[in-house]
Amino acid sequence: MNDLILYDKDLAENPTARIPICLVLDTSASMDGAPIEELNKGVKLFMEAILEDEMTRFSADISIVTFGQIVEEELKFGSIEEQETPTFYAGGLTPMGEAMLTSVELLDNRKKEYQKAGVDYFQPWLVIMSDGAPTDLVETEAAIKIVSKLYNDKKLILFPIGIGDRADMNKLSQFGRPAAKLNGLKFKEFFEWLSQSVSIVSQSSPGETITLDEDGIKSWVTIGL
Amino acid sequence: MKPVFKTAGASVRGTSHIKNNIPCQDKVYRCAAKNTITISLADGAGSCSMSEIGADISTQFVADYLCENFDKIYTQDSDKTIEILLSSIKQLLTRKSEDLNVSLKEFSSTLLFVSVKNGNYIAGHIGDGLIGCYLDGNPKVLSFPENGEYSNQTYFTTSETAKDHLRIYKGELSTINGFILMSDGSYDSLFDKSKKKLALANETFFSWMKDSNNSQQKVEEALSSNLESLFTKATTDDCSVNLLLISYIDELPWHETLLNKIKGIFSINDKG
Repeated sequence: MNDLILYDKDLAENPTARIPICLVLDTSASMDGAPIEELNKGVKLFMEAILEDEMTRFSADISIVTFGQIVEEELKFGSIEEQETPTFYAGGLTPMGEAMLTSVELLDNRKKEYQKAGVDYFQPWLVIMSDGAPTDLVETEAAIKIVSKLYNDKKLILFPIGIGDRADMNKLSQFGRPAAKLNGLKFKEFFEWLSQSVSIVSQSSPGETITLDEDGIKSWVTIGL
Repeated sequence: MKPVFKTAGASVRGTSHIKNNIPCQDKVYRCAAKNTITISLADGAGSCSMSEIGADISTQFVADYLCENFDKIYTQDSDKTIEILLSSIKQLLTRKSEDLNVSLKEFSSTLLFVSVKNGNYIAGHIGDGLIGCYLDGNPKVLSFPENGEYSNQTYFTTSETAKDHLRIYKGELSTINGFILMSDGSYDSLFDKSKKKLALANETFFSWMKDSNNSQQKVEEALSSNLESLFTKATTDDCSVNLLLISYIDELPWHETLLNKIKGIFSINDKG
């Protein structure tokens, strides 16, 4: 029996590396009815799945910005164990640009907080979901410039998702990568896939090429990422 | 005073490697030749399929090369050393990649090493992980990890910009009486990132090494079991450390050394 033993007090306690994730969700009037209901169910499932996974519970750092009546930070970054999943209501226009600019600022501020506290972090994730076209064109053009540069510089993982036939797929794609179209109202399947993807990234190590679950994508998409 | 070297190294598989049936991609190695001792450590890149082979080749080459060429490298310009080391490693990896018919990138790894001879040291580091040194037994950082901005980014021996990221350190040992190399998996437990300070365990390792009752094998077994039971709880990655202790013994006059040898040959002890 070897008597050379270390104890927990001998070791450093460093926080888990974080994956900052901002969900930017369309809650405009056109989302009323089944779409907003399914979106609420999907986000709830996403939060539950993140909480249940022993890796993502500590690594996923989630905020939610909605755009409809106003642009609102519905959920602030923080420990998922202390977060309460908000319920969304549909109404108003589609100020997508302002919402995207807000989310980029939130992600940037969060990164600065990590740096100050000595917390390691992965590339931030930005998920934009919309069933329409932006109504704030000037802000949207400004957001496209900023977001596409971040995406092209590999400083952002981007998921632009269109919902239904009226989604402006062209505009969504201008944020940096071709937008995917949700198959019907398969929010649940999308958020299931998203939580699994967060889990994969949270376990990755330097130099690892991350492959997201291709079969999982097929369960919720009609036009692929 | 004659320097005496003691080394101990270990590497263990991380939980994600066990779960995904990936071998341990961390490698440690030591070489002692020509009055020189070299320890090395490499952490194979995450999803590169042959990175454990790349780590093996890189650690062995650099340790053997430094033992063979310490004096030349010590006086040589560091840029020249970087060029020689990287091109030699690339050549070996390219040959292996051709043998196995896979791309060079599959052999990517970080690399850390320390070599000691005649009161001088040479150290080198590319990528993440950390090199620490012991000043009279107190651990200090000699070389910090070099990551990209994000958690899963770093630099490897096969990176296009590798020559800009391989850092070489040289100097006199003076009060340095030990070194520690650690991979990024171990770094999570051995370095407090918010306080930017080495954890207490680094001192404990040194005390294990210094205790003459602890053989190399005993320390290596202890390192393995502690890495496995504690360090792999804090990370999903492989964990490894490689330690070097430098101590000094009084050198006997030549005639006493000769007398001891004769006694040894004829199995004579001092009591008759």
